[in-house]
Amino acid sequence: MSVQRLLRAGRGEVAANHQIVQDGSQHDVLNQLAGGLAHDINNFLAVIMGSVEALAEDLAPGSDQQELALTSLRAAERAAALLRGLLAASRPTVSQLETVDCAAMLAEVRPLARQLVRDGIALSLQAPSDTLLCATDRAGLESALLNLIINARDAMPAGGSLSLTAETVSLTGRAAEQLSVAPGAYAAFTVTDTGFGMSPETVRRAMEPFFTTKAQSGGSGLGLSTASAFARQAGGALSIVSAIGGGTQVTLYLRRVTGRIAAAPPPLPQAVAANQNLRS
Amino acid sequence: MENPASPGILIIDDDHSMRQVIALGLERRGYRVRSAESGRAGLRAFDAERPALVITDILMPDIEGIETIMALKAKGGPAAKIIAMSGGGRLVGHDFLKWATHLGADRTLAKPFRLSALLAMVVELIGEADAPKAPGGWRSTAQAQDAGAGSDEGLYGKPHADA
Repeated sequence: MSVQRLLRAGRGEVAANHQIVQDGSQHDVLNQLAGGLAHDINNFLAVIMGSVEALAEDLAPGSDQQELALTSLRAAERAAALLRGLLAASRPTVSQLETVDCAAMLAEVRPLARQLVRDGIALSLQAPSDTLLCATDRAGLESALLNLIINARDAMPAGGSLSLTAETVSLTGRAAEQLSVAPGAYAAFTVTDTGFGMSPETVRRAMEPFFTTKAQSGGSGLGLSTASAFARQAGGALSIVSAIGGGTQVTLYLRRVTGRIAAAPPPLPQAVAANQNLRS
Repeated sequence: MENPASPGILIIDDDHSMRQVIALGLERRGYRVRSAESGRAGLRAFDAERPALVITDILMPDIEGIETIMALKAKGGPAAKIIAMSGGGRLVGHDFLKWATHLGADRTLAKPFRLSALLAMVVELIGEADAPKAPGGWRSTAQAQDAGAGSDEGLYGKPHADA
């Protein structure tokens, strides 16, 4: 991903007639830049460490030359540790991944969702009849979805319709690029409300930590930013489509898996399966 | 000198220097090593050689390592031993090594790492190579068996003929 693209993502690009943003805060952009830099530096350090270690093997044990090589090796290790510390301080803790049937999980979330929405709001939850397996953190996903439901509820003080749907989507090409995710199959959890919608500026800033339009009523400004961070940690993304007076649609994408790996290897993803044709 | 009885190991990494260094460490301990510069070339190499172990990077051009691991497990099942390695994420927040484990990698290594740590994992997964250490001139050996730069064609055309 180029620096230019990261910066464009940070500004929150306008797509079609809606404001669509993903991972749009400057903080995210800087984190991604730092991550890219760390990746490259770690690769360089890996080559340096491997080479010096091999060189040290060739030198006479206990010699000055070998000691110099080992000193270089230890210095590279200290640089790597410093880099790890910097990265750990700049990003959230990664959650525990497990294989979760998200279709079944939605059924479990339903009672709590009903409790959260007030009278005057028609709630609809639609999950696929088949299993929808994702490699994710169950508690994190539940929390993210409930945050989205609360946001949708608060956007409709006079009532309206709130729906949560889960489906499998294929993100390829420009769609995957826009969301900064790897092409492939994803579970898409979409929360749609018929509330007052958001201005382009609000959409652009909606995923910034502590940004809120609900300060008077005690909004923390962390719901969407936390959901966005969760999605990214799990290899997915969060997108917002909204327009003033036209309601809001927030979609959380998570990488779908097609089987429990320990029990049976999953079928090849489409892109890989296509590449297998090269064998013949 | 390559001992055809030694366990075969396939290295997949888009970084040429990384492939060289790992190949050096493994060859010195008597393993047969092949390398590929991309996930796509790696899958072709796996089909051709069926190595005992694959050591793959995660972030690569064309097919990412994650999909490569899924494909390798689909091709080789549980018998396909895989070590995944990564220098971190281009997208911060993605723990690619956890994903790799979830999708079937047997071991993971965060770059940078000591060669000795990698070698310990290799021994744990496929055992020691009983062949003698490769003679000097490791650099030309490692280069000769590498995939051609910018191409995944002819990967194993002349693995050691030029060494």
